[in-house]
Amino acid sequence: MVVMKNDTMEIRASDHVVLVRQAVRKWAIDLGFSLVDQTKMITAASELARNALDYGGGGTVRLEALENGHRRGLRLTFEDQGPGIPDIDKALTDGYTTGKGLGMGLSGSKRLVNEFEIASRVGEGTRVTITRWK
Amino acid sequence: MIDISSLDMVDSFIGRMIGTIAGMSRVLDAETVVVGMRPAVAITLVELGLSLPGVRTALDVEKGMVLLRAATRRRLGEAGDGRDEK
Repeated sequence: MVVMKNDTMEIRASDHVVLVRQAVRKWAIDLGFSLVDQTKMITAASELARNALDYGGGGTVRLEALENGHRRGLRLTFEDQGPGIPDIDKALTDGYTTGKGLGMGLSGSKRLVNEFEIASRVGEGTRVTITRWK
Repeated sequence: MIDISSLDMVDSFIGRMIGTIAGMSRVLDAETVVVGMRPAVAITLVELGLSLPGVRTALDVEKGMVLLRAATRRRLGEAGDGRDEK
């Protein structure tokens, strides 16, 4: 698997969530994603960027355009240095939230992508990696 | 009526806002209908798991108006005051 292109963006304010969405749309279009695939990836990115901001106190996202043989994909890695998630299984349950959201962001974005990885350490932060292939 | 035809995605944040508006409208005895959702947005919403409970949808503004008129007529009918809403 080859990383064709990569970039890192800051998520420190609500406006940045919008910028992340726009960047993900542009990258998905450049990779030749269908409209539905673009929408799924943008929505997942929006959820995770919002999580990094609201629960992680801000963070970064790394965008990577991937090529694996003739397959092309987009990988996004969201990282924050927030309080971390004590119980990841619980956090991945539909409808579970520690805030005032709907509790669908994390579990929902997992359904919208092909690959989903989450690593979190209490007191250190959280990293979520999602990949969608064309 | 909330027209979301210009939105290229609806995440849980926007979904929650729509739900809140519908909830407030209900308290004020008003009906809410969301119109113009793009097909890709609808597909994504379903997979995301957002069902927008209590929020009715219609394909476009015209069909949204039909839905609202019917709802108004039904309510007036229940009230039994004999008026007919056009």
